[in-house]
Amino acid sequence: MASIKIVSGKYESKLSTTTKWVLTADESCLFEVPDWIPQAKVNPKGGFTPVIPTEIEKPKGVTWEIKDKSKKIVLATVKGNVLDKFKIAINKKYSGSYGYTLEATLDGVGTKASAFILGSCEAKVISATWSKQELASDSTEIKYGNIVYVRLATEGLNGDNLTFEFYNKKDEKTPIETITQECLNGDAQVKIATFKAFKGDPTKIADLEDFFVKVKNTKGVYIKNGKEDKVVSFQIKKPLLVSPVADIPTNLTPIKVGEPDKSNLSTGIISLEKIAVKTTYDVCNDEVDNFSDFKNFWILENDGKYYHWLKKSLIGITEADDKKKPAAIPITLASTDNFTFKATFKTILPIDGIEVRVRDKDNKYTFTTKPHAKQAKDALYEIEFKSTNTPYKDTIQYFETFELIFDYSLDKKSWTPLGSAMFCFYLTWKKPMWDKFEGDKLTPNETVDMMLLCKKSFKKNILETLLWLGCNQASGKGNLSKNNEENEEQIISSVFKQFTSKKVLRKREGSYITKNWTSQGMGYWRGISAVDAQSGLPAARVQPRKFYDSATGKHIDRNSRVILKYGEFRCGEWSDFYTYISMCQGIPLSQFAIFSGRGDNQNYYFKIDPVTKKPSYINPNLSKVDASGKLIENYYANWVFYVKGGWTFSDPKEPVLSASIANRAQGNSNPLHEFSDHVFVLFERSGKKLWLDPSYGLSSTTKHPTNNDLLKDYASAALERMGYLDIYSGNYKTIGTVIENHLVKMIISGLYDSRSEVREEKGVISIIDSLGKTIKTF
Amino acid sequence: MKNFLLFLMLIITSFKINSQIMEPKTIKLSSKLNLYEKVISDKDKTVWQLFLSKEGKETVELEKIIVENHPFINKDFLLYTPSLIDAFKESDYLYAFVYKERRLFFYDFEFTNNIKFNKKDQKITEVFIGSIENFGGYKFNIQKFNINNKNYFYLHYGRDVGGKNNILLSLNKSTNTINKLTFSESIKKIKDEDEMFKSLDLEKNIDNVGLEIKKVLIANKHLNNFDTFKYLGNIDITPFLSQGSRYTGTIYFLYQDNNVKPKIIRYNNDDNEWLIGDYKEEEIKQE
Repeated sequence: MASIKIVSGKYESKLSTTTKWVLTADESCLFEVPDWIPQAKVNPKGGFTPVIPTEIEKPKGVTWEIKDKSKKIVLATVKGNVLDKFKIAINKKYSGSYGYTLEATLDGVGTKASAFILGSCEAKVISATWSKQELASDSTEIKYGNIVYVRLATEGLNGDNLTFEFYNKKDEKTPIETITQECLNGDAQVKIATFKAFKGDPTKIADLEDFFVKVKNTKGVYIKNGKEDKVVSFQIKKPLLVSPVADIPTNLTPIKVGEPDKSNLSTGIISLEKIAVKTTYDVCNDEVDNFSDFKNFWILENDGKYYHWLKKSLIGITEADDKKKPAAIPITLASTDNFTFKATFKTILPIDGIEVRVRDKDNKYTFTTKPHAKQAKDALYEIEFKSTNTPYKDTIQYFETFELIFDYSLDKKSWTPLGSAMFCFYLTWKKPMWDKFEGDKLTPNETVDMMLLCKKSFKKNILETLLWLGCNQASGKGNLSKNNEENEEQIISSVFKQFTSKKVLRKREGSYITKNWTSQGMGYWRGISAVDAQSGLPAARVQPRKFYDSATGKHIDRNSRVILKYGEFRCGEWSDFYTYISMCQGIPLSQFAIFSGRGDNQNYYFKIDPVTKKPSYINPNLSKVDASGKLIENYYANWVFYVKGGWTFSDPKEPVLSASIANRAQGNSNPLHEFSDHVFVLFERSGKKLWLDPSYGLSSTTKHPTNNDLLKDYASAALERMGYLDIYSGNYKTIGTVIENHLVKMIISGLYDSRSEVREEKGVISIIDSLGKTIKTF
Repeated sequence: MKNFLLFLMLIITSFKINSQIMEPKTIKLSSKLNLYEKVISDKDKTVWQLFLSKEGKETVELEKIIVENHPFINKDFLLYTPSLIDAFKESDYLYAFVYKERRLFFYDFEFTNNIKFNKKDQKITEVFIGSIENFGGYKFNIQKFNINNKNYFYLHYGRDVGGKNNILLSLNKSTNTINKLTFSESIKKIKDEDEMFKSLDLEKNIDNVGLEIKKVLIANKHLNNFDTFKYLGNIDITPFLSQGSRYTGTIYFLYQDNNVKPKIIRYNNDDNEWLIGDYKEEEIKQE
């Protein structure tokens, strides 16, 4: 293959090869393709004589092209013949590692020859500018948040990858940001996001600070602008105006707890003023109304910041609602979290060399901190304490009062009590599954969503009773077994013990919440969740989609927050309630729903043709129709199932439920006791299944390998009979054996995945003839 | 007998209402066009109609669905009445999300000279069938995003009681079909120590955001220095931007590299981390 060779001109011979020619910048060089020049013949007198083409034999034409390195863009074209030389010089601006393609094409034949050509010269910055606009130059004021464009004009760097380093003059060793950019045509420009320079304590940032940029090549050699490595310098002014720097109180929401024990208070030289515990989630009251309902978020405000504990004299100074909050503010951490908090101290006298130590009352946590800096009188300053251990790791704990005790010392030998702070402390097994709670992250519904946020402290919150029932009931559980699935089972079983009493209370029953269910416990199909028609409303006002509060005459939208706000709800909410308690401990659960063929599930069973009024399925053994389609005999519909306890069955009469004194379900002695569908909780691990029905306080006694086995166990434990109704005569036929065969079951794969992600299992509904024989299953 | 009567009471409720016009929903499609629904119930049936009106004068019926009442169960318990959820218009197409048959449907109407309408519908998702007594009504919230001349939808839906689903959809304009975006479970998480999106105004810092994404991609070898990179926009599923801070939710950043198909890098606000992984954009299968 023909090659291109340099004929004359200055070039870097050591860097050049037969296919790559490195030209000295600004020097003209001549090229040719020797193979295309007509061959010389031997002169008898010696030497060579070139063959000169005759008029007939004209030299062939050649097209010379300069292309970019991708060979796709033609930068210049020159036409000549094989005897002509191609002349080119590469300016310093275009010199560097960028290789241009020089290509020669023999006319007519199409034969090509090519080589890379590069320019070579000293690498340096000729000029450097900065601007807030692209491809411009200005000297207007830069503020934090502005984008600053830094632009270089260079020589000898074309095609090189340049690394721009952005420094604050206060720290010339550590760049704030590095950006790599290719230099093209001797020009290189980068965008610098100045908000990244706004770091650390804003009070320590000067009104005007100096910044500079250095540039290095791929070998790490800094490129000079004149004699300086700093190719460009500029100043940035405080404050930030464009891009906020997110210095909202981060995760250090304070925690405040009750009143310090006055007898334990020091009259010494400093006082403990405020405590903010580093929590991921804060705790809120069960009946929090919306995200701005600050009186129901268990957090205290002082001077625009938020704390979990404030010195008594500070409580309510800036937020009157704080005075109504629990004395020991509830806090929650995961058992795997270190206990980290910031304490604010105030000097009574000037201090120098003081040290403060802190311990919890049980001496479980070990805290470390840094020495206090020298402070003047009446100074407020903040010190962070962090536990070096996690003493309750992998266990659930509940402390009605968790006390942090502070002492100070001037000589590290004698210690003087400084005071104490108390909290109500919920330590969860794992991190709560808050991000799986119900809620629309784009457009939250503040009165409905379980993803609760406090709009003042900007913290995620959890309803207190969800934490309290889990942590109180399962306290100490979590690591008794080496098998975590067994630990999970122990935890959910421990929590469920409270439900078996059918009297489940909220944490602050009798205080802080409107309704007091201390004597009854939370209710099932009671009060606002009773059948709407039983509320005495005119039938036209019945709203099955809502609950009804007879005390206020208002309907209440159904949602999971109703659970704790009102303390009365139905099986959907009760199952969610238990699922949320478990999720707060980091334990996911599923739900198990069962259906009869009635009503909502008519697709399975008795859909009626709107024209003929003929049922979609006619059981010849139970029902007969005449030639016109008119039903002339019984037609039994799979109607409802009867929950155990108090029923008298006298087929074909409607079953009768006797009154009860004891609670049949949660907080209700006489709840609605027959249903067309129902839902309870499913705990499923390694192929073993356990059911727990929070509505009725019932649960599996053994684990089951299959859903059918589980349903059989549930039907045996919870259901008394299955009811079939002749929808034309009103006659009943009830079945008390193998009830599970008369139900449709559905597994809901976790609250957090949504109810519509279900594994539906059809085919269990059976039609039973008048003798109790199964004649049709579908 | 008490409980049997109870059921009858519920059943009879619908018979007592001879004719009821439910609150219609009207969606303004443009300065001249409105889309609205009408629901009329009597003892035998519920008639749901969808109309398009021009300047409040010319009205065209786009859809009519008759739901026969169940002879024994109050229709309110069945959730069978159709409902207009959301709609928008683009060029010669009118798009609508409609609830019917316990499912969410996507309608597209192609109309020519505002006279002829060719309707297609596509099932998007089903709604859990549990009873209204135990699980309440249904909810849908749809938000539209237009990025690089393509429509994306964030859909939040479910029953009143219990969990809800959040899914991302996109509109394939060449076929007028809805695609579902599914993200691979195989993801790379990159911690963002700067927590730069905590309060950043994404629209005012477009260049900055693009640079940051490029930097993350290059640093994690998902983009080469010389690759084409173009930041296209974002789907910001984040609450309370008006308060100036992000505490939860996900931002979906769309960009283009050497490939034609846009790519998505996600940012998890809860843990302040980038999520890099593939996604599929597939048409929703119809039954």
